Order: sequence, then structure tokens, then C-alpha cells
Amino acid sequence: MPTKSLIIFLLIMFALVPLGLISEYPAWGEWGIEEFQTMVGYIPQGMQNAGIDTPIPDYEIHSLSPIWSTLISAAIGTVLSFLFFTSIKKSKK
Amino acid sequence: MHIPDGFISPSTSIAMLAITAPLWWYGFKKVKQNIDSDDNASTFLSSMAAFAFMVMMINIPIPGGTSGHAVGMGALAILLGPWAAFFCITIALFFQAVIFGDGGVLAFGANSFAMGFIGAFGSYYFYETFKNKLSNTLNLFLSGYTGMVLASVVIAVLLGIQPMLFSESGKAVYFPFDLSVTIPAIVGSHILVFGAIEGLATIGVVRFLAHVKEKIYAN
Repeated sequence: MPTKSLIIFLLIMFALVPLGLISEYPAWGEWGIEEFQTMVGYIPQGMQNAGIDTPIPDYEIHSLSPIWSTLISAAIGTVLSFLFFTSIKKSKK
Repeated sequence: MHIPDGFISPSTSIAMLAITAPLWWYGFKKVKQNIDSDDNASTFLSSMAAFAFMVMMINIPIPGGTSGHAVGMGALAILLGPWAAFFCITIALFFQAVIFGDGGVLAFGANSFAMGFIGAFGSYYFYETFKNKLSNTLNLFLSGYTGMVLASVVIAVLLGIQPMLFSESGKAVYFPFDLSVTIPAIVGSHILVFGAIEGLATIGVVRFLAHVKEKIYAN
């Protein structure tokens, strides 16, 4: 099993993730609902109060700097991915 | 590219969940077979899901005050096959939606269908079709590019049909811009920029991990 390559690969990705902070703008269309007020003159009714509260919205951890927030978020995503697929493996017995 | 909740109607979201749920079930079966028959498969699948999770966080700005990101669909489709790629991208999207609020929870079916299913299968079948007709590097690039552009078409259509279907007294209830705006903005930016970024990511990752795939799936 070439585990070493996978570890190097994930470490490279981990180092690249903070580059995502360079962009101040969201993807086209993924604006905050207040921005629709500016753009079309109203906030569409169905957008108000939509969605759920999530533990770490926008990968921003309260009281941590953006870089640490992003790195910790990336680490959480990685750990959860491993836990998920490992649990499938365990469940086969 | 992640549709948030409230941007498409609950009926659109539920329709997309209904379309995608059987695909998750089949994808899960394929992944489980893979894991049961190969001791190392789960490590590779975990790594690729983690890669998809992280690469989607790398927002790249483009002129016009907007940004976008690669998804990893090309690399995953070619290294894992389309079903496992779709399933891994879906898992990454699930954690992004429920923990980080990136993409809606109700809209999760729509996002999984576009970026996972259409993206992975578009990339995979492009790659297979042109395997002996193009140089491998060009084929890798174009397969990632194609998957990405196809996924952007699905997102643009789902958003763009909203004001056509759901408006009350001249005001959109959900996403307010129709297809004449979403297609050029979303598909256009993916044709010009983000498709190419996905293409480059596909070349880099497949080159770097091709030997891992060979060792894991050798027996």
C-alpha cells in the first residue's frame, strides 16, 4: 500500500487550502441574502429563514484567525472522510 | 457552485433528492464491494473524498467580483471509476453542507447530482471515449474540463428556472435571475476559467496518484 504518496498528497492539499482565502468574493450567485436587496430591490421571500444553523458556518471558527479556521476546517473534513470510509470497512464483519 | 437552501424551491430540492437517492444507494453498494474486496481501498477512498473536500475550499477569484473552485471530479472519476467518484464527492458535499453550511441541506441532492453524478460521469465517459484518440495529458485535461462544464450547466438550469416557475406579483420567490443570466454567468465562467482549473487539477492528481491506483487495484 503506497500510503506515503497519499500522505504527501493530502499534506500538499492541506498547504494549498489557505489560498482559497485570497478571494474576497463568493461564487457567482452564492451571495448573502442582503445582497439581493441591492441587486434586485428585494429579498426573495423563499430565501428568508431558509437553511439550518451549522456548527462552523463558512469554515469560520469564532475567535480564530481565517487561516487557522480554514486549516482546522480542512482537517475536520479529512478526519470525517476517513472515519466514514473506515466505518464502512468495519461494518463488513 | 454549491446551491444554498432557499435559492431553489423546496419542490425542486425534493425532486433532486428523489432523483439522487437511488444513485447514492447504488454508489454505496459499489463502494462497499470495493472496500470488502480490497483491504486498502478504504484508505484510498477516504483520501480522495478528503481531496474533494479540500479542493472545493480553494476559491479562485476571477474578474467581475466572483470566484469558483475545482471539485476533483475528473481525478476521482479516472482514479476510482465514476460510481465511487460520485459517492466520494457526495460525502465531501454532505460534510460541507451539514457542518460548514456550504451548500444547502435540502439542496444537497441537487448539489450531489450536479457536481457528483454529472461531473464524475461526464469526466469518466469523456476519458473513456477519447482514450486512444488523444494524448493522455490532453484527455485528462479535457475530461476534467468537460465534467466541470456539464456540472455547471445543471446548476445554472436549476437556478435559472426558479424565477420562471416561482414568482408572485412580479417578484421571484427563490433565485431571481433566469436562464438568460445564469447560463452565461455560471456556464460561461466554467467554460472560460473553472473548467480549465479542473482540467489542470485532473492532470496533476492523476499523474501523482496513478501508481497508487495500480497497486491498490492490482489484485
